[in-house]
Amino acid sequence: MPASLDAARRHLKAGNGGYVLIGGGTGFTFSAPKYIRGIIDLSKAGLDYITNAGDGIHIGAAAPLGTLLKNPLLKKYCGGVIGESVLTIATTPLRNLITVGGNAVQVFIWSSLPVLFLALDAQFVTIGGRRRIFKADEFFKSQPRRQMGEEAILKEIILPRQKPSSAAAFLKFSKTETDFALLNIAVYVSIARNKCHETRIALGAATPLPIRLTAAEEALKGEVLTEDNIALAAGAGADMVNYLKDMRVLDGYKKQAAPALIRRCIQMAVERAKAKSKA
Amino acid sequence: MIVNLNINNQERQVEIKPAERLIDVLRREGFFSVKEGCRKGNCGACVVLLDGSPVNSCLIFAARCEGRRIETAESLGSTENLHPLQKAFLDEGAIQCGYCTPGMLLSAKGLLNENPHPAEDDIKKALDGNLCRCTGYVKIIKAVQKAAEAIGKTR
Ligand SMILES: Cc1cc2nc3c(=O)[nH]c(=O)nc-3n(C[C@H](O)[C@H](O)[C@H](O)COP(=O)(O)OP(=O)(O)OC[C@H]3O[C@@H](n4cnc5c(N)ncnc54)[C@H](O)[C@@H]3O)c2cc1C
Ligand code: FES
Ligand code: FES
Repeated sequence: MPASLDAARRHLKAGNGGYVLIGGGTGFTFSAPKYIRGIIDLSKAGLDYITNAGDGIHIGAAAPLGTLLKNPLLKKYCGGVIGESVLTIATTPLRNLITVGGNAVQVFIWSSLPVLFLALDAQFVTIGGRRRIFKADEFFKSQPRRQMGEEAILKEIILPRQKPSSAAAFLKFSKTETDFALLNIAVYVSIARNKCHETRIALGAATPLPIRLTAAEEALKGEVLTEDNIALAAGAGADMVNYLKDMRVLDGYKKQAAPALIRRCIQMAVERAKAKSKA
Repeated sequence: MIVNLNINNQERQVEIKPAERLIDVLRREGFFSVKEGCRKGNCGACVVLLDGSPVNSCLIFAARCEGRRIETAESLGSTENLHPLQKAFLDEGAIQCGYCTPGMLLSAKGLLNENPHPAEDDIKKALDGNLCRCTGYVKIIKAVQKAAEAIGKTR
């Protein structure tokens, strides 16, 4: 159990591919690595911080999700979207184990935070790998481990500074509150002169990795955020997706449900951004 | 390997295998209130408090608990002197087969540690990781409300 990030890195190198990092360790339930000789537990490596720096909020990769819910900086961030998405993940005792880094590095189809991080344009700071900083779009292009390199450790995630009149929303659609998502949607929007200045819309649980709905984003940019425009954009976004089969629902179900859910999530973000610009 | 665990306010040095789960170590040490249902993080029968917060002991390696404080249901009260949560669960009929009860009690205790006056929704959220196949939850939620009141009166 390394007491610092440097020590963790040394252990990982010494393991020569036989050691595996763990944040919360809950991912092993779904996919235990086949050949492990040792486990490097990051819980004492000083990576559980949440701080405000000039460029945004830095969240240490080993911060358990439960601590994100209690943090006053994160409670205010983008209209409370961090809590909104964290609460869709598993259950209270599991959220005390699952770490923000573990949820981001190993993407399952149901994973929530990767979808949110795409919409928020988060950055990922790694050490010991190919590169130091990744933007969310690059990080989730394939499984992040592949982008980072086998010997890399995710150090922290940076949520960019909030712009005025901007907000975000997260929506998980599932059969029960604690079930895995049928669809996950995250929307970021900033408003200027009553029009959409910037938006990022991400969809999860539809494809193996979460994706940006660029068609929806393009349809909204520069437009007045009316109900009709939002509905058109949501339809365009939903149309660009090749939905994976899911044994819990009929084929075609997700494709039909997606436009309404995307619209609802865009509306939630827009209402929050409008309320912020009035305040 | 040896780990130092504080279990129910008693310091113990326990011999464990490196990849052993906390639930297996606790049961081997005689804490049989810790139950195994699903071993996947789904049911909450294995919930214990780690430094005051509920966690699934089936999904945490015992080695990670070095130097940490673990509470199991054995720490709550005795037959002669029940903890207010235990008393409320009995009084409200919130127990049938009892398999989920230790985990329920500890999740509820974790909530009351942080929030002594929880609203009904707070209780539902705090117990979202504990499944009960017998009672239907209504009585459990009532019991937690009752225990919160009882603890409030003794403060
Ligand atoms: C019953 C159950 C229900 C769940 N429901 C949901 C849900 O609805 N939505 C959701 O999003 N998640 C859900 N999860 C959580 C998800 O499936 C994973 O278990 C979780 O995200 C893994 O996080 P962890 O911190 O435990 O990571 P770990 O298991 O510790 O690690 C996961 C992977 O990431 C690597 N890793 C971890 N930290 C780092 C780091 N800092 N640097 C480099 N590599 C690292 C590990 O080597 C490993 O390969 C659920 C989990 C369970 C058990
Ligand atoms: S046995 Fe741990 S959650 Fe079911
Ligand atoms: S009382 Fe039987 S499972 Fe809850």
